[in-house]
Amino acid sequence: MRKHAASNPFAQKRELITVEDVVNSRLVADPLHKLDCCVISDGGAACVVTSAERAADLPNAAVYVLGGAHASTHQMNLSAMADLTVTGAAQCGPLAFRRAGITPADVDVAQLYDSFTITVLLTVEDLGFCAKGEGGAFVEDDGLGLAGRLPTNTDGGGLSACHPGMRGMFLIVESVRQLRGECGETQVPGAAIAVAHGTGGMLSASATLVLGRDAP
Amino acid sequence: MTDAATPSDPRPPKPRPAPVPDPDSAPYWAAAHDGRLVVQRCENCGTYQLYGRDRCLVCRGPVVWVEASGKGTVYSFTVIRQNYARPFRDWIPYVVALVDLVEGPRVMTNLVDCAPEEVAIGLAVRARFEPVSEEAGIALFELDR
Repeated sequence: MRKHAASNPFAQKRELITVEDVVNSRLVADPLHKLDCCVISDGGAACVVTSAERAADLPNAAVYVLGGAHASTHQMNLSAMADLTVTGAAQCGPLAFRRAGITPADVDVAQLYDSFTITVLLTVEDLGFCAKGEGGAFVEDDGLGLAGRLPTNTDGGGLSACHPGMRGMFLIVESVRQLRGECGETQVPGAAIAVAHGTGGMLSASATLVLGRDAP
Repeated sequence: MTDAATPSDPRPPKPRPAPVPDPDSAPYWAAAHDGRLVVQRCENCGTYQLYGRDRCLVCRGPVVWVEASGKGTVYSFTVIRQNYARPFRDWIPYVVALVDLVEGPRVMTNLVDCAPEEVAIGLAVRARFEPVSEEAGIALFELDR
C-alpha cells in the first residue's frame, strides 16, 4: 500500500516503510500498532452516475457497473457480531460476483476498505480471493502489489493515501481511474475488471461493487 | 516511531460516565446498580439476549428480564493503549473484552483487577458491579480465579 502511495502525489503518507517500522510503531490497541491504522484526513470525493447511452456523449470514458450487492450483519455494536473473523463480505461478495457474471480470478484490480490492516485480511478471505485463514500468506511477498496476486489499493488506501471518514467513495474513484488507464506509475496494465469493497458500521455493513472497462 | 502515546492529564480523575436509561434498558441498569446481572429471556422460544429490546431477536416473541449467573468466558479482547477522552485516558492501559455469558449473550465490558498480560481468550470471568448514578450501575468483569 505504502509503495503505491509513494507514487501518488495526493497521498498523505508517501515515505516507504518496512514491516519492522510497523511492528516498532507504538501499540494503539493490541495487536494493532499505529501503522496498522488508517490515517486521519480531510477530503472528499464524488462520482457521476448516468446511463450508458448518455455516457456515450460525454468527454470522458465511462466505466460500467457489472454487479453489486451489500449486506448488513448486525446492529452497531461489536458484541452483536456472531464471529469476529467473518464479515458481511462473505455474503455480498459472492452475490456481487454472481450478478456480474465473474469469479474472483477474473478481477484485475481491487480497492478494499482498509481501516486497519486486519480489515484487508478479512476482506480478501471473505471475498473469496483466498481461503479463510490464508489471508496472511495471500498478502505476503507483495501479494497486493502491482505485479502481485491481487493488485490492491493502488492509490495507497486508507492506510496511506487518505481516510476522511467516508472512504468508500475513494474506492470507486480509484477503480474508475484504473479502468480508464489514468493511474500512471500505479496503473495495472490492461485492467478490465475492478472491484471496490467497502466495510462500515462496526464491521457490520459491507458492500461490493464490480466495475468493468467494457460495456457488458 | 518517536511520537508520544496519550499524554498525562493534570486534571483530577473524572468518574466513569453514567448511562441514560430508557424503557428498554432501565431494568438492566437498575439491576447492575443493585449488584445483579440480568438478561432478557424470550417467553416464546427461550433465547437469551442483551442488550435489552422490546422483542426477541430470533422469533419476535415477548421477553422478560431474568437474573443471570454473572459467569462467562473471554471471547476476545484488546488492550487499549491510546485514548484521549476522559476518564478513559486515566485508565491506560486497560482491557476491553467481549465476554460470552454462560446464558448465551455476548457483552462488551472491561476486565478489571488484572494485568493485561494475564488475559487470554477462553478464560473464565465473573461479573462485579460499579454504581455510576442513583439509577444505574455498570457490570465489569474480573478473572474467575
